[in-house]
Order: sequence, then C-alpha cells, then structure tokens
Amino acid sequence: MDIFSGILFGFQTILEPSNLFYCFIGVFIGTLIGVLPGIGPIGAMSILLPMSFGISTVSSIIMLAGIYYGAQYGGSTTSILVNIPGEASSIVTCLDGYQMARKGRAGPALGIAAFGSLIGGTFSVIALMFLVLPLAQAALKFGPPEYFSLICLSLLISIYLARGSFAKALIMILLGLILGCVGIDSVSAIPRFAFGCPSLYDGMGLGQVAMGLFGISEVLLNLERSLDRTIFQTRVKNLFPNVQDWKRSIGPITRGSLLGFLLGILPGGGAVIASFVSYTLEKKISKQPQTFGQGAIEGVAGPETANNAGAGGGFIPLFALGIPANAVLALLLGALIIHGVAPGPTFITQHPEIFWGVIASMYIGNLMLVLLNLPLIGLWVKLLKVPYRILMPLILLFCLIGAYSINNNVADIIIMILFGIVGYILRKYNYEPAPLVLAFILGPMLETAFRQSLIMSDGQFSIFLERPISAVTLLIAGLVLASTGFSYYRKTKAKVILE
Amino acid sequence: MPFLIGALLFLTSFYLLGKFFLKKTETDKTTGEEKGQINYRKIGLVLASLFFFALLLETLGYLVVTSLFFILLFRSVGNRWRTVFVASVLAVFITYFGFTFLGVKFPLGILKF
Repeated sequence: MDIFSGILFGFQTILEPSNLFYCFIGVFIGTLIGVLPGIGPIGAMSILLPMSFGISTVSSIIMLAGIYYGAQYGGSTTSILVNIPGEASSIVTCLDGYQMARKGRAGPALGIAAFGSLIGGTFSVIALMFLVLPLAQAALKFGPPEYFSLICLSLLISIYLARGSFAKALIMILLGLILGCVGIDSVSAIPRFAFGCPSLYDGMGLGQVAMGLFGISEVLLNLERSLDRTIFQTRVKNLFPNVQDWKRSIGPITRGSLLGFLLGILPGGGAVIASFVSYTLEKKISKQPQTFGQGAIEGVAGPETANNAGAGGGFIPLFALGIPANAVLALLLGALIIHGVAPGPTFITQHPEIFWGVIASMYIGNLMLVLLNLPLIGLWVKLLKVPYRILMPLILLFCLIGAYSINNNVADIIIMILFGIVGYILRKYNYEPAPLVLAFILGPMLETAFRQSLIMSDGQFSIFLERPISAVTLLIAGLVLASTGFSYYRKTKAKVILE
Repeated sequence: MPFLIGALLFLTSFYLLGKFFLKKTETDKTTGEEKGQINYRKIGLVLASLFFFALLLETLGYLVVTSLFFILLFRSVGNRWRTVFVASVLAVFITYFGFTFLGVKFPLGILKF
C-alpha cells in the first residue's frame, strides 16, 4: 500500500463514527489531564488501558494516542494561566507564558501555543508517515541479534538522556529489567521470582505497575504539599496572535517542529526533552536573549511546538520496529500486545487499519484539539478550581477499579498499591520512574531476543558482533556509554582540581 | 541462563545502590528542611483506605466498600460531613453505572445486587 492510498484508507477508518468518537474522547481526556496537575498522561493511559479491552483495537489505540498528544496541549494552558505546569513537557512554557499572562497577553500566549502545537503535531505526523514505511522495510531483515542490540541501544540512550543522575537512571533501568523477569520464563517455562504466589506466575501487568508508579504515587506526593492555586483573574481575550507575534514565532515554530521530531525518535527523549532543548536553542540564537523569562513569545512558541512534534516522532520506532521510545509509548505497546497485535516490522502490512487509522486520527485529533482548546478555554480554567480534595479520591478510585478490572483479581490491586508506595519513595529521592517502566516492558523482549540469538548461534556470543547491523548498533551503544563515562570522569576531575 | 541474568542484574543494582548510599551524605542536607512539613498522617490514612478497599472488596461488594472508601477519603482531607455524604453517594452511583456500562464486573458481596 503506498502512502496515498494508505492515508485515504486511514481517513476511511477514522471517519467511522465510533472511531471518531473515541478519538474525541482521547483528546478530551488528554486535555483534561493536561490541565489538571497531579495526574499525567502515563497515569491516565494506564487507568484507561484495562477499560479499552472492551472496544476494538483500532479505537483503543486511537484513544490512547489521543490522550498522549492531547496532554501536550492541555499542559500549556495551566502553565500560562496559573504558572503550574500540567505536564512535565510544559515546564518551560511557564517561564515566558506566565509572564505574558501577567502582562495581559494571556490570549496570544494561549493562541500561539495552540497553533504551534497544531503545526508541530501535523508536521510530525507527515514526517512519520514518510519515514515509517522505509524503516519497516529495512527492519524486515532484522533477526533476534539485531533486536537485542537495538534494545540495548535504546535503553542506554534513555539513560543518557534522563534528567538528573546517571547512576539513578541506571538503577531504575536495572530494576525494571528485574521486574520484567517475574513470571513464567518464556523459553524454559520455569517460574521466576514468583515466590509460590499464583498471581505472580503471569508476571506483573504493565497496567498495575504503571498505575502504581504514576497514579497512586502522584496522589501521595500531592498530599504532602497543599496545592494553593492562584488563578489568574483576567478575561482571556484576543486569542489570535497579531501579525507581529506571528513574525516572531515563525522561526521558533519551524525549528521546534524539526527539533522536536528528531528528539522524539530518540529513545528516552520524547516531548519533555524536546521542549527543554527548544527553549535553550531559542534563547541562544535570539537577538535579545534578555527578554526570555519576561514574556518573550518565542519562549512559548518554540517549546510548545517541539513537545507536540516530539510526541509524534516517538511513534516511528514503535510502529516500524515495535520498540517504544519512552514510557508512554511503552504503554501503547502494552495495549497493542494485550489486544493480540504483535508490533514489529510486519505490523503495517498485517494491520494497515491500525497504522493508517492512527495516523489519520492524529490529523483529525490535532484539529479537534485546537477547537477544543481555544474556544473552550474558559471551561478548562474553571476546571482548575475543582479542589484537590474532591479530585483525589476520584483519581484513586479510578486506579483501583482499573487495576481490578484487568483480571478481576484483588491481587492486582495489592500489587498496584505496593508499586504506589515504591513510586512515592522513589520520587521523593529523585528517582525517575519512567525509565523503570520502559525497561519493564523492554526487558522480556530483550531477554527473548538474547536467548533466541544464542540458540541460533549455539551459545556463541560472537553472533552479536558478526552480523553487521547488530555490530554497528552495539558500537554506537558503546560510544554512548563511553561518552557518558568520559564526561563523568571530566566532571569529577574538575571537581578534584577545584578542591 | 535466566538465573544468570537475574543474578547479574541483582549484583549490579546492589553495587550501584551501595555506591549511592556512600555518596548520599552530602546531598541529603538540602531536602532535610522540607521534611518537617509533610503530613504523614494523611498519607497513612490514604494508604490504609487503599488497602482496606483491596482487602474487603470481595467480601463486602463494590457498593458498600466504595461508599465507605469515599466517606473515609473525603472526610480525611477535610470536607464537611454534608459534602462528604452527598459527594460519596453521587460518586459511588455514577462510577458504578459508568463502569458496569463499560463492561466491568464488580463483586456483589453481601448486598445481592
């Protein structure tokens, strides 16, 4: 199927009323959780994951994807109006967006954020469409050794790109790999780490783990501090940025689209990193860097475009190789697997309706989001006034029911609560749970690929180096590791000299 | 082979953890001040109600447990009693019908419906 007939087919799929409806639900929930601080896209997607079992595969993937990119829109609203980032990916929007709002320019700030997001989102979908097909073609030649190397590489890059400490990210990855081992081993059928507990024989579900780490622990963290929100009391007007605003934003939006898309492809990157890098870049090349932080529209346009473009770029490795680039996409992969769809190079030819349907839904969804966000901005602002003490029990109940409904098993709830406590402690000590979830889903894939390769080669480890693609990938992985080690070494050396 | 991988992972992570705790002494000071304000009672209460929900769900049934769960939670974060009851009852029924509509089966427990 070539691109043109593919996209037609995709629109045919998305224009079915039920898919359109789920697409709307997805972007709506996405905006909602983007606006509400205290629950992010990972939490919301893991809560909705078990509830999507009842609907068709296409609809559920469309809905979950909608939550992901919808959250990038919603997050900007709170950043600009309340100075609280709804999502991690809109933290930098606070810097200039809130200042713009204080100067009475909340309207253009929201407007440019929405339009930038639309442009970035659409750009990344188009680029995605053109890149996935050749990549999937190439990936058909991949065997287990190549997969093993690729997964190793993506785990390493995600450590490299992680915020904060390198060692902490590494620990999270290793912990995730161990947790992924729990359950009956796929090659020899021996239960591992199950401790005789029948509920653990199947392994721990992604849903329970993610909900605990992101849903419950988030609530516990928020209970610690009282969230007083001072909502900006101005009427939001002039949502359409004027000509001068556009002139200043066109550069940041173009650069943001490209940058976000490229960073989105990298494992562990995605929307968050894209927005930070874009802000730094705009500040560096700006002729008046001193205006940044005081309400420069470039500082809103760039990152907001980049985070949406980044959200789209991440779909490339997922659709072409079946390897998720970050924790959110790992959840999407989980959803695909639960629905009985094997992602990988053959995914597009075997399930064209899912691939093209999701792509088309991104066009439609991005449009829906602009319509949902700009005229209805007042509604979202009002929603911020719902006190957390009402919201909190509801979020918890959704998590509980979500965990229960996966298998109708109370043990799943207990697992989730335990992970909630673990996640709470981890976050308190600045460990990021996102790499853990990524490793948790990649772990079993990594292990299977590793062992299949060894079976292929009769236990010779050299198979990973004899095959060219695998060797090159491992070489890059080695370089990434070496460069991290080197910069760490230089830092420590500098410190020692200083002292 | 699986045990080899497992053992390797355990070793590396323990090594890293150990290394980390040794370094920890300097960085801990900055977070020390914030710790005084944390409301551990609230967190304990929430956790207790979560476990309460999980353990009693199958014996008491969804409607009873969820009502109690909501009453406990709404009250624990300091709402007035009237809001507590109205909100709990509303939330229980809305979620019950919402989720059964989505195809989730709840345990019936002592109430036979």
